[in-house]
Amino acid sequence: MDSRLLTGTVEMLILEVISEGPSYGYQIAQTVLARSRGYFELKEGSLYPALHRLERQKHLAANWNETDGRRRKYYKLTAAGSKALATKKQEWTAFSKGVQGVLGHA
Amino acid sequence: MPEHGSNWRDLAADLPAPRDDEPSHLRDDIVAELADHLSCAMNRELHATGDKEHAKKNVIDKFGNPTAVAYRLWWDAIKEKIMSQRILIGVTVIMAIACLAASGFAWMAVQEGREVNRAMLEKLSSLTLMSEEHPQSLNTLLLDWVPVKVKLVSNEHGMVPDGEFQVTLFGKLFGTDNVQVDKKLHINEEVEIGYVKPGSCTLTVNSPWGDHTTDYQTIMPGTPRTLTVDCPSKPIEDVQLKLDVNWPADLRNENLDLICAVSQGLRHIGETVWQPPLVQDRQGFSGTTKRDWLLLQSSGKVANYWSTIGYAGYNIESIGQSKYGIETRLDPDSELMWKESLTIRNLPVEINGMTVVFPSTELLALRMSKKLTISGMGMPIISTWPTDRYFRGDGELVSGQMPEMNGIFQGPIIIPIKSAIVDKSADPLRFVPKAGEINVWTIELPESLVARTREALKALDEFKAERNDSVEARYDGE
Repeated sequence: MDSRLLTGTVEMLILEVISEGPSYGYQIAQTVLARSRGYFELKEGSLYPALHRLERQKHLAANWNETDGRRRKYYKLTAAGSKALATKKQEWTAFSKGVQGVLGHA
Repeated sequence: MPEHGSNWRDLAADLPAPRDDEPSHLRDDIVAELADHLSCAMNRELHATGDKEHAKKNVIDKFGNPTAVAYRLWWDAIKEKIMSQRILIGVTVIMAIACLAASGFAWMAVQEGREVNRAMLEKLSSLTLMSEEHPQSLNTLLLDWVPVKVKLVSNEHGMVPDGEFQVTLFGKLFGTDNVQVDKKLHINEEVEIGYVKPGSCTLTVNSPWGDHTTDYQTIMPGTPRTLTVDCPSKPIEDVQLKLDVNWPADLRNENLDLICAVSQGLRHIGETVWQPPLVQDRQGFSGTTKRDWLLLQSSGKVANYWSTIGYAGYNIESIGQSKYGIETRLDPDSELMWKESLTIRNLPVEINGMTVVFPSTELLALRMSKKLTISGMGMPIISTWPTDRYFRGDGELVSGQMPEMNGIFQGPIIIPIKSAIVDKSADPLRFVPKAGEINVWTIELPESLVARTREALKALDEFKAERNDSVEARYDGE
């Protein structure tokens, strides 16, 4: 897909995946890939900056666990993150309807 | 898969050297998170391909450059601190540069000022030398120094006055300090003041008899200047002025007096305005443009108290406002001199304000009710009181003077009716005297003054009726 179409929706997709329970970077990327049936492949170059940005914005909170002898960083949604997700979903729905309406006319 | 994780140790290779303000765990966290991701991806690819090298290649292809991602995460975390630090350093540098520049400019200004002063001193020295050795060469310096002369002329009556006039030029004449040059000369003579710096200065000329004129002059660069002053040929003559008040019929027998604030016009000779001597040098009317005070008796006699009733130059409203400025003993042989007429300069006279004075005997009778002994000792007292409160009928004398008097009043007391003050400064009564005859000025009282006087007299009568004074007034004074 054209990566420009993904711009602006990455954060919404990440928040949506994490809203179902704490998760870590690799798992988030795989979940998005699987649910989109291979359509959205989050590049790590955009996934981790987005995760860190959301953490700085207090939309996500993180904690570290030990797994297979490696440290793993888990992210979970905060109350502010829930609100942000709801807003982004609303905006996306309106945007999507608008685009669909135009395309339907065409 | 620890063995795979150890392959990603170089993730931090491209990161800059650790900073002092960097969180200690930042690099470890970034490396650990990315290494975990890469290890997971490696496991997946190993399951898919079974070949370690192939798997690693696939992981890198999909992930991109791990060290670049690590650098970006590090930069995102630290950039806010770095930027604020850079801004702080930038502002500090700019402030330091600004301070240095300001110091530099101040130093340059000081140096420049010193140079200018040194040059001026040198030029002044050279001018002095040149004026002694080669006076004609000074024309080349007209832009910096202008030769100034003063000439006195008089065309009045074709007469040339005797005596020398005093000329004074004052200003920044020879540099930055104020300098005064005094010269003496006769009419139709010219005098050289010297070389003067262009700019403003004050020219004052005093006549032999004390009249003077003052004017501001602007000396322009490049042009020699002769300041010409029109002078009087003789002192202005004195004339006699008799003052009369046209009291209305019902007030004529009330024995009222009138205080007038008076002033005289200026003397114009050509384009020059001349003023009388600054110091009063005559008995009676000072004749200056300042306001004087005249007291007109109902009998037609007049006396002037130019420095006593009020303060010369004050508006008529100032009468009676100063508690301490009004208790003044007058020597009847000099200052308090009742006359039939006044001797004034032959210039227009103006009355700028008026107020009426109650008859002294009435007031003394009222004061008697306060058990005060009143005796005339030949030293009359001029006194003003806040009579508006006094005659309002509250039964109290409003003044702080009684204790100071020790209960003894030594002469007539002049009490202006404050409610009957009329300010005529905007529309003065005017009289132009003529030389060689006794001038009689009959003063027409403004209607408002007459009306207020009637009201005040009515209030006085009501007050006396309320007090029902039984004490007999005894007054032996003038």
